[in-house]
Amino acid sequence: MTDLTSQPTPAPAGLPRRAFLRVAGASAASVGLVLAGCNSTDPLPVVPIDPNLLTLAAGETGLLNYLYLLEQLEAAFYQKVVDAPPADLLPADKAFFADLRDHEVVHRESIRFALAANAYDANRATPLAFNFSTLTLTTRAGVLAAAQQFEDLGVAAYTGAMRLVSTPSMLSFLAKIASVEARHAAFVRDLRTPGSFAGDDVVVNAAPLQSVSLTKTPAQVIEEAKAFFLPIVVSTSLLPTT
Amino acid sequence: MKLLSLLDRLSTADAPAAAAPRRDLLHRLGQAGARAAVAALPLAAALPAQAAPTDTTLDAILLLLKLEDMLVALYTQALASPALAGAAQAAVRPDFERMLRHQQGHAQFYRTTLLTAGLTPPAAPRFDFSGRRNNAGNPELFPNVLNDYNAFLQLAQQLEDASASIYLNQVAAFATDRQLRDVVLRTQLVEARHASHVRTLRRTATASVAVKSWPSNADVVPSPAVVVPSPAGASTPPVSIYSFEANEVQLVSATTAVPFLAVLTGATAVQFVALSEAFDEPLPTAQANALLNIFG
Repeated sequence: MTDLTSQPTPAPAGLPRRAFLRVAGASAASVGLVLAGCNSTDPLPVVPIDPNLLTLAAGETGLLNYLYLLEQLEAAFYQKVVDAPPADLLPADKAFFADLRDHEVVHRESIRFALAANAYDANRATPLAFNFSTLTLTTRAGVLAAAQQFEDLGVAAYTGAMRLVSTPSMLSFLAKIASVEARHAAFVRDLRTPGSFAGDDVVVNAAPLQSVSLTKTPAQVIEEAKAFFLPIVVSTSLLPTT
Repeated sequence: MKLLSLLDRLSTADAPAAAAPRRDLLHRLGQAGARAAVAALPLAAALPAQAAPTDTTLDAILLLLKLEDMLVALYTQALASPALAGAAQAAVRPDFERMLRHQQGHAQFYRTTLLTAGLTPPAAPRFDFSGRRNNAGNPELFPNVLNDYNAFLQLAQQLEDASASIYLNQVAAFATDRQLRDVVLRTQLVEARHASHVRTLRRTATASVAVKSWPSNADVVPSPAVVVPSPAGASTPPVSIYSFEANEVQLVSATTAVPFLAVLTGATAVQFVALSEAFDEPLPTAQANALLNIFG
């Protein structure tokens, strides 16, 4: 589960409270802090957790939340473009950006439904706001560059996540979405540079693999996308890696 | 070695009667050499020891190999034909050369995988994209594919879309082998990029055809269409591969469908056509085999 609130640091499992205080006291003393006032009625030491830290859950729930977050990001981006298109965006482009927005909304809402109460934001009053201040969304070129970044990253993220999914019905559901993301990526790349639909930067060879789609781990994807979440920092530390 | 007749039998892959000979073949071809081969060949470094194909994964690998061989043949033949020889096509020839390289790499991967398991990969069939099945006396189902750029693009779009869909359906056959499944998924995404590009080429061609870069109920329907047996049975007429793409029911578990009407309202409302556009759909094995048998 995700964690946007402060929580006391749990005592290490299996240690009685007194032993834990000794451990805590020893390390605190070593950095010059004073625990002299401790007695058996004091609360456990509390480490304030950054309210801006979003730690994705473990297991397939965490993986699905990770993809949900990326679909939210993509949908928010296309919504912004549709709401305020750059002056030089062509009429034909606008129709396709409306389609892209709709597809991402369908993906986002489908995954949200699958997560139900396990969605990281199920109890948030307002959805996470994304930060697009690093992008140039006032020109067609800037919008297309950003769209390519989101779509290529999305495809690499889906492969990296699907690799870790065991439930057959969930895998087939995600694969159907990923396939359309790959079509989006090729479409946007061709808009920017005709013929760049499957460039060597996204279709890779790594013997014995031949011409397969580039893949990225959740940690790599979040690192590349971190500017869009600020001030929120997303942690993938609990997500499965094998 | 009866691998070619094995391929023929794949069209009845779901019938229990056909399973026994395949198992027997695996027994004879596979068991003796499989362990030694897995240990000795380079692929062993990337694939676990249990990668020796099971009955189901063997079927899936042979199906995907034939699919890739078909796309290799399509682009090899088209690049050597008037369809892609004109001055107007000079700009797009590199695109098809690139797709050909990708398909050749995919086919090579499956051949290496079969060799690793101690099996002899089948040779590529002699593909005929006119639909005449290498017999001039048969009717021409797909005229001018190798002579006319637009006819070629129309068939290429259908075959690349079908490829992405065939892959989606075969993923389930690799459930027990996580690494092989990963390769299949990552290959599927390359096929989806190809399909998107061919659709973009059709839309932006001089003789523009109103298709989106993803299958849509709003697309101009191809004619002649590649048709496959109806899932409703042999007594109903064959259907277009795009009849599967029209699906608007998405399952997030074995039995639970996303209630789109309930969740896509108000601020989340979308154009109705987006419901089917947002997902690519699997093409079942029987339809996939039937499609491949049209051309080879």
